[in-house]
Amino acid sequence: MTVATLDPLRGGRKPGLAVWLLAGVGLASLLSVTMGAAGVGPFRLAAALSGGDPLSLAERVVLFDIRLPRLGLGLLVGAALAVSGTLLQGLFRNPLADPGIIGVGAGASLGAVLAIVVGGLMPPAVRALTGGHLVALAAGLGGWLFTVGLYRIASAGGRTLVATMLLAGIALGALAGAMMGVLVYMADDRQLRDLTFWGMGSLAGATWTKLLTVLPLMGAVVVLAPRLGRGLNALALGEAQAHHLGIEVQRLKRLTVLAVAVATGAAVAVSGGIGFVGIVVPHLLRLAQGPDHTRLLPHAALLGAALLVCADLVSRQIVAPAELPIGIVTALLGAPVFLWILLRQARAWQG
Amino acid sequence: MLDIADLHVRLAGRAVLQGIALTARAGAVTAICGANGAGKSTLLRAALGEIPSTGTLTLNGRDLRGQTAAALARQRAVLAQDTQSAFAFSVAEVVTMGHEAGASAHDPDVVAHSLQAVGLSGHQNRPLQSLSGGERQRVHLARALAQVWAPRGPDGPRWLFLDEPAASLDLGQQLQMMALVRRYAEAGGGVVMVMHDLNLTAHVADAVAFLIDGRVAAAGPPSEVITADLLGRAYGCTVAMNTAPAAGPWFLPQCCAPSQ
Repeated sequence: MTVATLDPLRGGRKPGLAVWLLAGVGLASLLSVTMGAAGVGPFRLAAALSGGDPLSLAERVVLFDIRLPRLGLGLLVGAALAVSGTLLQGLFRNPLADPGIIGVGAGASLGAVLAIVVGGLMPPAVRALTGGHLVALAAGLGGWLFTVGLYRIASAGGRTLVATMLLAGIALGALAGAMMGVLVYMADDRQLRDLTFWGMGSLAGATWTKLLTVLPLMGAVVVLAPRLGRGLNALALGEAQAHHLGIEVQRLKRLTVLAVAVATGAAVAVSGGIGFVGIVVPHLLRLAQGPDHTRLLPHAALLGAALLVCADLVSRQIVAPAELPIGIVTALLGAPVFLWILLRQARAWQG
Repeated sequence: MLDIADLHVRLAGRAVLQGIALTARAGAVTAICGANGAGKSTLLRAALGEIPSTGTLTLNGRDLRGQTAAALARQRAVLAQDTQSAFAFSVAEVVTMGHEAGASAHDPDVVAHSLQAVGLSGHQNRPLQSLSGGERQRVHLARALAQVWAPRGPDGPRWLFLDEPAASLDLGQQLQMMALVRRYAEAGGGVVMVMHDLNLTAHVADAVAFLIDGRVAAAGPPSEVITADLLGRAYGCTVAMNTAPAAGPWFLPQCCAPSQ
């Protein structure tokens, strides 16, 4: 990472931001592990860890088989969504871009809806083959296919037209919406319930298997994304200027789209539709540290992880012992924050 | 040396440049002039490799086509006519982009020196969006300077390509920028710029390539190229030519034929 080599002139530099974000991730993780319907509270955990009273079997199941994989998935999905949003805003040179826009979200949703509604009609042998992960697989595949299709549409003669991609993404999203409408019309009551819950997102089904399946995909994107930072900074000045600043622009665009498709596809596959993380996190960070992508991308991973774990905590606590879908929590918290940022910026422009 | 020979460019099926020959020396300021639509900016873009072209195109003796963006960025920097930034980078961040792309990326003082050269020391933390058009243009000039900070490198001279660099500047800033450009060339670097203002061009350039309808109508020192006859052909204007003792030719527009 080039984080450390940034210019020494910048007076407003905040080396402490990463530390604060890490502390936030740590605190959110601790709360997430120790709070919940069945109690392994913080003091109980501290006592067990310090060699006192060991955890009972039930406590161990709650901790290791339910809470820890859920925490891991929350951290990973939060980081992946925030990094994807940051990458897309950099690629489109537009602070309103969101993974939902380039069709990954629409494609993944269509895949999932298709799996829920039509999946039931498939022979049991085929369903057994996917081991209960049919919806997740279909979501990942749908996101991937839509992104590749969109990229093809927007590419001509070895160049990718970003504006075409944005507009085509909106068109494909509408198309996917209409097709989902047809499927929803066909669905029975049980499927409708599944559809609704899937669309609102949840980390409830987290298992170690799920976590380990998506870890390499999302982990690689989150860790490698900062390497695209210098290119995205240059791209903010336009494609021609980016080229003159030594950036292979086509390669940068291709890698960015690939990274977003992989990370968002995997995130939607395991946790459904969770909105607003990808759009709010980069905005908040730009207020705190400026638009430099080499620092924005690692910071977005940390803030996204912390925020999603907190949102998950809220979703579990607010109607305990039941759970609110996490997508509702992120939208309820994210939408007002986003509006507040927009109003603040609008006022700043008016002077 | 920038060497262009028999360069052709077609855009949307139309031949925009036809058989351009242009040689720009390092250590000199070369200006590309002509009426709007004559192909000035197209020639600059073709010389930068931004648009496809046929013909010879070499920089420092190496074919420009097929070189990586990173290799090119270490040999030359480009100042566009108008650079819009999508995000509110600080002045220092923008100049650092040039610095990190160039061959002097190891020298931490370059960013400060570049800002000083354009008269923007002390502004490094201001967001780009809070600057005036002229200040912003100087920030991007500082970015270009930071990229090609040493005019002469081990692998040949470095180059500044400027597209109408004086367009958004006032008279004082124009002369300051031209002085900066001259210093860069006199230190051994190469400068190629598209210019509208012919009086300013005559004042600062060592060589002028004057385009009419996609061809080089005249090339050479300003005193030979900028003549009443050529300006009449290019713009349809009558001008009163004069010569300033130190600065070469200058003119006053008199009247212009109605455009067809």
